[in-house]
Amino acid sequence: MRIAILSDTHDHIPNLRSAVTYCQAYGVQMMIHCGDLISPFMLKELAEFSGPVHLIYGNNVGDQHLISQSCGTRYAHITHHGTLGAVEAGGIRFAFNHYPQLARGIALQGRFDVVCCGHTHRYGVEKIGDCLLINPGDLHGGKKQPCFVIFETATKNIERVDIGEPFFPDSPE
Amino acid sequence: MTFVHGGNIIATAGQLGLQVAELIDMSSNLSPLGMVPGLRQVLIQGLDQIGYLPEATSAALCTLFAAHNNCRPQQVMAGNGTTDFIYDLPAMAPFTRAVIVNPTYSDYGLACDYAGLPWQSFTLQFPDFGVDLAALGATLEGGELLFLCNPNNPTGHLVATSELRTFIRAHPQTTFVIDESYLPFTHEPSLVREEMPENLFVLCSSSKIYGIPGLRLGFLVSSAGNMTVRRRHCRPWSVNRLAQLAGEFLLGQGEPYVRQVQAFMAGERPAFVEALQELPGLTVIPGVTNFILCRCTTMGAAQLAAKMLTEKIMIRNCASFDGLDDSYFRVSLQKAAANRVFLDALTSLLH
Repeated sequence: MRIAILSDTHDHIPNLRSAVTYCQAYGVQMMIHCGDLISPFMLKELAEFSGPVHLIYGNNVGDQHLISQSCGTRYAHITHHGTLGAVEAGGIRFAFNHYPQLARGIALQGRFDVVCCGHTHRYGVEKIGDCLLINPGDLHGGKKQPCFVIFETATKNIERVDIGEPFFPDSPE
Repeated sequence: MTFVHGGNIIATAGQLGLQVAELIDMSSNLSPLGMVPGLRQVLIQGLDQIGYLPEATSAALCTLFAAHNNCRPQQVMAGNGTTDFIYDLPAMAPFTRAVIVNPTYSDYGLACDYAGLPWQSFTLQFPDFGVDLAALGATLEGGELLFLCNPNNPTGHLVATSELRTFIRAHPQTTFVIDESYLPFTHEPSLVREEMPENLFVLCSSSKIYGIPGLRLGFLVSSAGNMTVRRRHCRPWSVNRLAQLAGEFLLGQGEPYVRQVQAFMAGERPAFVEALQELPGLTVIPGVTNFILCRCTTMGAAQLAAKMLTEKIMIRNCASFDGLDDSYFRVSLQKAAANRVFLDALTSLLH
């Protein structure tokens, strides 16, 4: 089973739209969004994906009321988990929280096979015990190349997918 | 039953016919830096969520607390403030008695009274009110419940975590309740960050370090085995939805604020203590916390508190603390301008 892990879309409609199109075309069956979607209008873009979508809050606050009310109702296939998400798919137990330091702590607890996070806008994969800690980078694309991750549950293979261009490729970090 | 606490600013303002904002509250032990940036927005955004039941056992919050504190979710319970647990623990097992390291937070004794558990004081002594662990150990018989606030309120004394852990392991027949409400104001690591002995329960408050006593959010941490037993007596929905949202936000975003508080303390405390030490008749008890215990030999604390109140400044008369008398009062660091107003007022009273 192919699962897309994305984060920090920060209202970037074109990049999210491209990522959804890519996922639809390449057999992705589920999406996990690790927070900082930001505005409710981004739900419409996310909802173009035909499989189940799992979403959490980040640190940047959009209209949380409208977002949480729309998930599971207007967008029936999008589940909003609050600040901490957990789901089992393809025999893999996933947890997701926006903050890397909390995600790391959750990975150390040994209850999940994959823990996903965002926040830093930096792509990174780390093995913590038997658990994979995945930060898919961002889809916003400030100084870095926007990207997300496709995870294959059978092989635990991680594929990084680059989308679009960074806004400020020449800026110092 | 009368509850005697500092920080009764609403009642005091009402008695004086003042607005709360007109008072300088040096009596309350909370963070001097006010609300954590962003928390107000989280609470406002979350108001709609009081329309449905909160998560019954605060499982997500406990998982995040555990992730933040290097322990397992099975070791953690969230409650309506640590008060929930202070009042539950004395009733949970057939303890022979309780030992309370006094002077300290009065609710430990009240909780034992409620549970019908007889208790004795191990009384700390002037001038430093340090905890002599060897002497404390000599009073233990096994079978008792021991309450220790570390660092202690109102004395501000800290027992090093490593020393305390060794002491707890050396007395396996005694059950320890260590209240770490003020530990985040220091750089000392929590007892929960390493393997916990079976005879240890740790209380972690959110009220003081984040300045949110009105939300009521506290945690109890122990071994997974102990907590399995505790959960059988767990009440559902003991943490309200807004407190859950606040806790989840603070565990993710609160760390920079905690570092700011610690940096503020490092910058403000030494000069504040030095100014107090220069005042005639005043002895400052050495400590590490955001609050400072003082002994005044020239004026009783009740009189001093009343005089300070005419200057719209609240201080904590410590006569109600077991082991202290009317010569002791406690003040907590506030922002620099308020500290200066307080020091000026106290200086003119004592000179």
